[in-house]
Amino acid sequence: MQKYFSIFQITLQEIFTYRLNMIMWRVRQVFVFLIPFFIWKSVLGTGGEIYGYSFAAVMTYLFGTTILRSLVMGSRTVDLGWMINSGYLTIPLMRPLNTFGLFFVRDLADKLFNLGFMFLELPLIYFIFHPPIFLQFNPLQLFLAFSSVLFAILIYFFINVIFGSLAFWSRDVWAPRFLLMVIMEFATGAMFPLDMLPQVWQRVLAFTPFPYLLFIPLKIYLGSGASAPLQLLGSFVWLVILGSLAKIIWNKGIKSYEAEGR
Amino acid sequence: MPTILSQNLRKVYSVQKKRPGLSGSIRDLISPIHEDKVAVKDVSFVIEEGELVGFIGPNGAGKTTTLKMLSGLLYPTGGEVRVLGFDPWKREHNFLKSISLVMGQKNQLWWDLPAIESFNLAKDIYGIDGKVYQKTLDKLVQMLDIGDVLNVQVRKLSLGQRMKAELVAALIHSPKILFLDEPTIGLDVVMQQSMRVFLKEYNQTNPGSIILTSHYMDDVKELCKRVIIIDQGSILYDGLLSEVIARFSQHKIIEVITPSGTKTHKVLRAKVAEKAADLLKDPQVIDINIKEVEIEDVIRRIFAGEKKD
Repeated sequence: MQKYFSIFQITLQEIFTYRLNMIMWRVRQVFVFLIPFFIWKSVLGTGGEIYGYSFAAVMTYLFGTTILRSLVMGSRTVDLGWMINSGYLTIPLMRPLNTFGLFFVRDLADKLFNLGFMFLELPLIYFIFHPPIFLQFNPLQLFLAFSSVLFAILIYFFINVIFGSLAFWSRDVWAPRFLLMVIMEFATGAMFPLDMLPQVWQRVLAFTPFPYLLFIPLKIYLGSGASAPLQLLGSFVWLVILGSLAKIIWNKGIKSYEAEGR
Repeated sequence: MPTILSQNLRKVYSVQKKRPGLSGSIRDLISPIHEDKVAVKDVSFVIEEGELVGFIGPNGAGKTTTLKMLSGLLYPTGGEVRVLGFDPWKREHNFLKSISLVMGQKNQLWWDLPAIESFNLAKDIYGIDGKVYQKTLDKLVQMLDIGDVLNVQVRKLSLGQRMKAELVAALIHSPKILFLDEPTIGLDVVMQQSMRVFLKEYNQTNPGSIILTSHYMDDVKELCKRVIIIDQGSILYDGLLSEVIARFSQHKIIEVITPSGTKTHKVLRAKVAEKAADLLKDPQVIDINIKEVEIEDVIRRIFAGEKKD
């Protein structure tokens, strides 16, 4: 375990090396909250409801997704495609390490970094915009929400491994990655609660893993929406499917790895 | 058990062939053409413990591909390879703890952090005991003379300093096999020499084998007793470096020294004694030297496709 802890530490050291990058990234995170905030303020700021959501309810939701986002979607594994194409993957492959373990630990370091800054930024956002905050005290609901976040973290990790592994066969990894980012911005519920969508779209999205990344964990935390254990089961099924798929694709892809440039 | 056993090793890459021009590029979008490129055809050899073996060959000969298969980085298309009894491709942790791979100018250290951080991380990754780590580190740092740059960010090091730091990182866990791919490429002559001195000393004072690929004949001449000459994916020669000349060059050089200067004659081996006796008949001759053809010339000719001169 010591080796993974050391990788965790050195990844954080690496992040702290680029101060400007770090600050700009945080500014971006604040904008990620501000953009939907102002959109919703213009729609609901004068009162009323849309699809059962008041301005206060939407703000609670956005505040929640902002926190969840840094936990679930903070990742270093997004670099996997580049690592394969540049030959940088050679370095971890030649060390006595579990490669997925290494990637995951680096993800965790990124998440901790995000979370640390969240604690500085959130009070600021709170004092400026006063979003209503809902605190969940039901231990069962908290446990289910925690499990759901854990599954979401792993699902996102495996999605990144799968998309990154495309680089084993193609140099064109940027476009699929960009497409995925755009889809996720919409389909995870990062910008608006997914139950605002027409039923048919909700049903379509239910067959994808994306709502399990932000929307469902947050709904479980808030104690609203469909049965939490059932949703947790759905999340687990996706975790198993994507985990297996990532392993199959990786094992197949690694045989095509050419360690170019290295 | 041999340290490395390679039997009929083969690697074929699938490469996309680009059609010429813009219309070709558009056609490539719709129906790309892939063709097989044989990088390593049929390579068999055995390397014993403690050997320092040089792989030499022109660009694209298959040296690096072979090295990558031996270290478990590439999946062989065919043949069998055993390194320390392991199948390298499985990359078992005990195997990875026993080898190290250093690849030329390519950086394996944490670019944005001081080199010492990479060494400390290696200590934990390889599970090296604290005292053993410190002792090995001190020894390597002293041998390579890089004590003053350990706390400098890797990206701020000169190429030579970085290469030395790469070697420390590669040797910190005392591997049984060190794979070196072009370790002196891009270095100035002084730094090349200091790398060679280090590798020679390291090989003499530590157990384990070193497998080296290089373009520079000086690397091979100074370090390797045995060479494997590889070209177009096949082994042309596997044996002592000292015998390469005898095997591939049918000539010797006779230098004739006279008061007006030195003349050289390239003579068939079988005719050397006869020719020398003949030359000595000339009263102007002060001395004669009989020399082998330079190894560089022999290798150059082999690479150029002339199997014997």
